[in-house]
Amino acid sequence: MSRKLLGQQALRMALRTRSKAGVDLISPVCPFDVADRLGVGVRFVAINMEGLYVRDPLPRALISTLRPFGRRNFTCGHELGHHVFGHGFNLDNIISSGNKDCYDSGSSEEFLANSFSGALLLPSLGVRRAFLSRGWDLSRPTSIQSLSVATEFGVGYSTLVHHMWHNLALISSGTAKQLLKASPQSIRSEYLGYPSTRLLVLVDEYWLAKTIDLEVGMEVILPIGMLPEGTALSPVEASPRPNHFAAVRPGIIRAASHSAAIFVRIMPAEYEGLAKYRHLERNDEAETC
Amino acid sequence: MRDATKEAIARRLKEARKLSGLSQAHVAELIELQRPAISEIESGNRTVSADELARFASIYDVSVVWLLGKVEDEVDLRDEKLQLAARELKKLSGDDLTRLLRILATLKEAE
Repeated sequence: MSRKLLGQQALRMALRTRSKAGVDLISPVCPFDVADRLGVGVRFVAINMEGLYVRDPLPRALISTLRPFGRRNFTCGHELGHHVFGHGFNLDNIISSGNKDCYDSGSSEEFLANSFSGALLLPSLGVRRAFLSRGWDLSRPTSIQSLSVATEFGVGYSTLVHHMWHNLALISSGTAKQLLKASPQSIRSEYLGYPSTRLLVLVDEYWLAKTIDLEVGMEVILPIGMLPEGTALSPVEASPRPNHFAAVRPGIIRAASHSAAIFVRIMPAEYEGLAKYRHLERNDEAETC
Repeated sequence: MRDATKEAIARRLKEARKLSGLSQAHVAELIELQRPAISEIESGNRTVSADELARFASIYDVSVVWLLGKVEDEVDLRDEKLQLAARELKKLSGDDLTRLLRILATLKEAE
């Protein structure tokens, strides 16, 4: 089957999956929540890979906690792609054979899973809305605008740019190449006015995602006037912005202003364990065993 | 229950808890036991009932037979029941592959 047909197949399945998970065709979606709705257990593991899907005995996705936050989201979407398309091979075949069909990186199964993840996490209508609702030029976005939208959809900066270029055809190759010259770190540093290596999520009044998802060590800019409850988010002292916070401990908290409120979900850095437990509060008391 | 068996189950319960990302305090709350009881169980000083074992397995998403030590530490590569989509297995280091095979061996089976 041609790449074009595979892409169309992935798009149809992604839209069906969003519908099955109770998500509209516009809003950003957390792939771990979708996995939960589909009955796919997700486990974060400290193994140097991207992830893998286990079809039998029960559907599960293993995601490497050693990869960046946005990449883990995309990988989870990818593994869900394998799930909805019923992919799966015997382990011995995968490890020992030279069979290209056994999920070689260029195989049609891998292409399908990648296309599915892109369509699931970055729906065309949602990406368009994210730029247009903010009054940004969809065909010539700036790097900070693109980074802002990428964080709203929970994916990496280059993932969004490539998706807008290759899959959605919203930007030209020239615009994409210009955007890809900037690294997320340099964009963040320019935006903040000082060097910063920490992942930054930019939340504004147009934010449509149901939650703000972070891990300890990440930072967030909240809308002016919105304040977090509790101590899981702490003001960044080095920042001149009063609405700039760092995630310092896991848990689920509420951030609210006089007109809006949203839940902030924070997981530990390099968390190993089941995805469903990732936002549990943790104290530092030593285990007695 | 023989002491050696009890200790083996205790070791696997502790390993399963850590792999699931839970602390003893979390487990105590989920399974409705006092935290010292979890510590005692993981030390091999307290016997676990069949019902408790099933609850631990469910919470940790591991199989009861793995907790009981009735399957190997690592999954058998020829196990036909295990079906995966994995694009990078051939690139994994020896340590990572061993770690992965250990995790796969724990997985809960369909009821």
